[in-house]
Amino acid sequence: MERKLFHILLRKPDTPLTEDQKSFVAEHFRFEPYFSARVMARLEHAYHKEREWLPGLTFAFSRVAVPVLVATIVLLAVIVFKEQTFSLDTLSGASGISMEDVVGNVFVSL
Amino acid sequence: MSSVTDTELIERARTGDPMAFRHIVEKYEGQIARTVKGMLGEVPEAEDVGQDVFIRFYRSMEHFRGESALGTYLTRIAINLSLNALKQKKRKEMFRFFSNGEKEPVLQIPDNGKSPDQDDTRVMVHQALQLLDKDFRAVLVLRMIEGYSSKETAEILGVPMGTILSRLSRAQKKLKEILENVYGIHAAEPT
Repeated sequence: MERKLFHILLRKPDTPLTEDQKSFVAEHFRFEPYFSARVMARLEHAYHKEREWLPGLTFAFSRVAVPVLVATIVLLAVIVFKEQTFSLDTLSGASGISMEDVVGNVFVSL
Repeated sequence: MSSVTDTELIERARTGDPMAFRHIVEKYEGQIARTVKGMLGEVPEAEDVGQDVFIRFYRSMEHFRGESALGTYLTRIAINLSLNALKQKKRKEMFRFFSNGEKEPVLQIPDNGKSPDQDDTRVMVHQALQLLDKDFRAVLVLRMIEGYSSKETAEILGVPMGTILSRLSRAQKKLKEILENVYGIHAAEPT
């Protein structure tokens, strides 16, 4: 009866595996043939899928991002041209509004 | 390519050389098979977990600093993924048990009248390993099958060395009891 695996598992911990035991373990604990090919195929499949949706994402980004960027620049140019200044208040549309206006409006609404 | 070091292979794989990565897989698949099959047994999921180990490594290759040997690094991933797979399996079994009262698969115990042949014995050892607590099993697989030292095993599992020594002793004792009591096999004393 085959008892090699028992001896391997139940041997004294500091006893190294013999060559015979090593080949026995390698034979009994292994994957099916062509394991590496299957791993590479899975990787290829995963990256192929990534390659498929990445250009689509880039295209969608360019279709959205570029018009938004152009619109922002035009809007900023119009604001600066109209207000003749380039401050944070002007850009946020809060120029000409004082703290009293804000506080007053709050009290009025209350 | 056998004379090429792991560092060189990883460098090549990082630059997108598929043959270099394939060589890493071929070099370590045996080691990962021993760890994963030792932890999970002869089940179909073992192959998936084995593949996941290399895919996980491929994705995190940029972060591999070479502080530990590549084999040790991959074994650590294999142990973690195997433990995750065991947790998932347990959850599924619990769910199945509560949803339709299905029982867990019963272990195949040999007919006492017959002497088990080689294949039976192999299956029995795998089953006996599965009866051990997963923490004990991990120590037994790394220490007795993979041949890691207690210090290396402690580093891979992230527990103190004293714990490894105690778990190993208890795991061997338990395995011996299982083989004797469940399978009627009187294993030899540790040699």
